[in-house]
Amino acid sequence: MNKTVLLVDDNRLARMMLSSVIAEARSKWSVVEVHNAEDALEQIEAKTGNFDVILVDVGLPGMDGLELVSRIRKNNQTTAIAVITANIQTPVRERAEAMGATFIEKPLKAQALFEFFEKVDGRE
Amino acid sequence: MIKLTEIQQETITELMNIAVGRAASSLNQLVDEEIGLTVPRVRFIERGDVSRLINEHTIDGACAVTQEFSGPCPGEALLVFPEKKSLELVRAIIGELAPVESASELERDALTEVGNVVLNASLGSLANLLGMEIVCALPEYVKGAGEFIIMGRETGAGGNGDMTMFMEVNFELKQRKINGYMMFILGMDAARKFMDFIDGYMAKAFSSSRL
Repeated sequence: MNKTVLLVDDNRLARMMLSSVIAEARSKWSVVEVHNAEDALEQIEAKTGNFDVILVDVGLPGMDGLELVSRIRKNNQTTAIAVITANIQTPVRERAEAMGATFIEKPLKAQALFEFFEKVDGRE
Repeated sequence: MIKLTEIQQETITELMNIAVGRAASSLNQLVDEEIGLTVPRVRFIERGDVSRLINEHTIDGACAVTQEFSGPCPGEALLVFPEKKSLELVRAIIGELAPVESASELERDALTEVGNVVLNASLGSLANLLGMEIVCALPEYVKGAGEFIIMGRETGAGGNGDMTMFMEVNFELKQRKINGYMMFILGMDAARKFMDFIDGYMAKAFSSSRL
């Protein structure tokens, strides 16, 4: 089934890398890219319920990625979220996982994202 | 001034080895080639002297990604490359993602992301090993001479004339012959707290080795 992905990362190269893996793994999925948490929340409000998958970096200008996930989870417990970050500290991973997000390390290994997408597909 | 004992010095070197090893593994994934590392070196120097070291390492100017961090031991981390090698590094990173001609357009984003990944990998590993949590600011990309990179900013690591604990590792992309430098700077208050964590780590390591 086709899905819509919201991709939140302030770095253009990181967005390019992620988009390229998504295109390879799920060519029919569409991707909306934003570079900060505030724009992500705006997109989510405008398209309530329409994002099937949200990929979030932790280090963002303004509100950080974990705060963004926490705001999203206040109204939405079900959307599949992956936190994709170079910040490999254990407390960061624990906070992400406690909010029901999958923790994926940067540099991105395509396989980690493929496995996350398989979990997303399996929820249908 | 802090005087490190031999065992403290060795413990810092060992933990830095693990942390920068993790960073080298991340860089290896980004550029798909072997990364050589030197043994980490720890010493106490004035913050302003770091600019001289950068100039010595990068004779025709440098590119640097700097990242300040806060927490129990606030400081700054830098990833430094010679400017004349920066586009070659960008080309290695973007690979087939974008045409070769777009390397200069992507330079800032590509090198910032490399800095983000490499510095976070080493800082995160070190924080996990020592059981502390640090908060990393967003990485910043700076280009120019060492004075511009270091002395233009006053940070958590103190002013330019202040003594700092300075840790440095040199690395090399072996095929492309690109040298880079990872640098970590702590002000003296932060260095004292860092040494408390090192002593705590040693105490735990020695007590578990007796079990």
